[in-house]
Amino acid sequence: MEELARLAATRKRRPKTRGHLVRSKRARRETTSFLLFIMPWILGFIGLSVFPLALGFITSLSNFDGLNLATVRFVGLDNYARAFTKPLAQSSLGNSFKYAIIVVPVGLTLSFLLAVMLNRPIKGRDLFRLIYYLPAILPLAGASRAWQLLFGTNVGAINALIRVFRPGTAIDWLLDYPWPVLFLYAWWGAGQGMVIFLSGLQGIPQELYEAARLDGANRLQLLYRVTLPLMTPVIYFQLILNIIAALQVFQGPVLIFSGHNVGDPVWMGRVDMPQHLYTYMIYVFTETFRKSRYGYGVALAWIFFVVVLIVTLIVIKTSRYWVYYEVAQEGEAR
Amino acid sequence: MTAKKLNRRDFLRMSALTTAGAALAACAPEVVERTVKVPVKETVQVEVPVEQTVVVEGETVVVTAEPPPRQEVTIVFMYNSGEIAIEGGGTEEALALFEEKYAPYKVERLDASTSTMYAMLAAGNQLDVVRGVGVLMPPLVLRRVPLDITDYFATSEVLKLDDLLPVNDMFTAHGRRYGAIKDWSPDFGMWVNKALWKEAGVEPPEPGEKLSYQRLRELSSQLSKFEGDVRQVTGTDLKGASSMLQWVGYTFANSRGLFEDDIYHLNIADDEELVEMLAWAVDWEKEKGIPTAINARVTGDAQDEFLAGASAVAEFGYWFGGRVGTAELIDPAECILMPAPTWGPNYFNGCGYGAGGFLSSTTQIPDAAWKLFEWFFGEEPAVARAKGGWGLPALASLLPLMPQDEPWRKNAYEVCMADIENSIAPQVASTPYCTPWIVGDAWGALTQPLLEGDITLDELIAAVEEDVNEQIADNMDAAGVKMPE
Repeated sequence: MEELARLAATRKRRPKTRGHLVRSKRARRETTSFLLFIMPWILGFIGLSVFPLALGFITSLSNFDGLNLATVRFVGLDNYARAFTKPLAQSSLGNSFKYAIIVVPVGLTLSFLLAVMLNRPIKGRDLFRLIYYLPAILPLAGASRAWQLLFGTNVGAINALIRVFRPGTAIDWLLDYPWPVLFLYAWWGAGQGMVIFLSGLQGIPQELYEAARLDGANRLQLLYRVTLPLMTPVIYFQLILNIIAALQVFQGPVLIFSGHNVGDPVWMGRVDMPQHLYTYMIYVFTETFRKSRYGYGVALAWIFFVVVLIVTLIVIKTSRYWVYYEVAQEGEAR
Repeated sequence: MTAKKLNRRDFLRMSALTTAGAALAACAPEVVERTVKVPVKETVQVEVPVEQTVVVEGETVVVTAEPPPRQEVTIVFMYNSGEIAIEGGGTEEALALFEEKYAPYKVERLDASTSTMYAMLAAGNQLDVVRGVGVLMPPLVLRRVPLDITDYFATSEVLKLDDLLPVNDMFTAHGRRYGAIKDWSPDFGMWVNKALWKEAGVEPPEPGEKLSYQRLRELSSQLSKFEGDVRQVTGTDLKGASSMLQWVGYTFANSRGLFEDDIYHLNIADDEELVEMLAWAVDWEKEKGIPTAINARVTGDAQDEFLAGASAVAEFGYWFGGRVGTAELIDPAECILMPAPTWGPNYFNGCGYGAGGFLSSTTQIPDAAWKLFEWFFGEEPAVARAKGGWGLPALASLLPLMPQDEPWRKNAYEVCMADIENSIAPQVASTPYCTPWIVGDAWGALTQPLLEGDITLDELIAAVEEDVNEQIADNMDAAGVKMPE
């Protein structure tokens, strides 16, 4: 120990050589350059993310109604407590989960199967890829309108088709079968997932398939034993994004229901859909903008952030059991 | 101008005129910069829009004043482009005309959005003239969003107080004026497609004939047309069927608003007459007489349905004539505007919306903003709107400009003229702590369970009261107002 202390003292006393000074100067310059290069992003991050988040959190502790800066009052955690006492907040969150639990697996499976099919050398492959991807680039409002035209009660295309076999039929799809209709809407967006899966599929080395074929694997086995394991990182990525997007679902249901039977679209913050079908974000929207409860609305958003964070962390934690990586992950042996 | 030596007499005269000019300037609403020019003969010009005679040393002097020179400022105008037009020109031409007529003022237009307005006000951004809605003004006045422009109106040569129709009172509070109506309608008038009545074997109403709600209920089934379960014609389509309480509050209970006795609480359950009306209206909905959450229209949209010739009666008010006049699938000559329906001896055809505008209380250029306001609500754009047939003008002097060239338009004009005295909304939510839409939303959100029998009317009323009263309490708290004992 004494020896070590002596060595340390010697090092401290050691005069700085010219080379040392040059290195130190260069290091400082590099640090400065690094900071200068990264500064725009840092400033943007602080100004556009950290500051709004902090302001949002402060707002959630107040009775801010969007205008009452002169009379705004600190209400502590009242807004958070309120969210836990409102049945509508809970049922809306339940609806968001119900939507996500069905839409995410269905959407992922569908887009994965589409990608596998369109990764094969079939005739007109590019055309099919385009056709399946096309809905993804359509504006959501237009897509929703198309959905309304399909599912309309009296003049909808689906009922018109049914009337060929059963005259006089007028099923109110949105009223009687709202969830299946919304899930079908999710199918509309499967093309986007398909493109990401396609890029993943094209990265799988052909030698692996050839080796598996030599071992006698059939098509199904190739899919399960080669394609699926190698695609798990892409599935994992898509799963997280899709869960977050599904839990945040807002525009689709609102636009599909707008004008249904009562004639008012989303107007001055009004959402024209039955309350029992509200998703969480729809509830947040109406509380914030229609009822001017900005403080409560932001508190709801923070609660949602925590819920999404927990769900995402669960997915991340469980990923080690099913996601295949070709390189060792941090903290685990290859 | 030649130089003139100032003698004692001139000095005294000039002093008096300067004092008079300054005094007049101080009284004038245009407060920018006053200058008094060197007296030339017996006249002095000061920068106020007045003329006054004063006596100086026994000599009569006419003091003529002119408005101050306009500053070069940009007025931020939050109004939708589709609503700004002049004869023969759209938004761009209209705003160019203003900038030319009132140079050097410039206008920066933004689309109207409540959220944007809130954000801009909270951030302290410049906002000068804003689109406002009559029924939404009380909560905004409570929050001091609009500027009190009573004094501007008092001296305006364009928006004269005795020319303002009563409907403009939607923009007043406590005797002060905060804005004006752009155009409006008695909103509960009903458009009738006579062709569909004849097709159903029902004699169409005479122009100006008032039908009762009870008669409309009978007509619902007679005028409706089905093929199996498929609706082909909607018999009667009433506005607000999705938010019955709002509708009933506007129409049936016209003699008193929902908050007439107590602006701090909504109390429906104890109002027997109102509950009786609601029960009657809900029964009508249950028998699928009018479109509701459980009774789909032919098309999803009520306006499209009427314009497609699939609705025999639609409650849209005068403004809908603008769409009827350009419809392709129906013959405007077969359409007439009827007065609002009656409930017993009660008749009321009020304005249920009231699009207009106000000056933001945060404006730093009130004079310039007022000039734009005055122009938009009283000059070329107002004339164009009056002639357009999309709404009644807010000024009595512009009423004769409304289109009357065709019989159906003439009829619509006459119906409106008869309704002008009824034009002020009963303020269903005549409390600054809640908008009428919140009341309507609370009702509409539970319409489906009610009509499907999952909840009773009493349960719905209790839920609506709870929701609305919570909203009132929140708004009072936000505004720093204590609930009185």
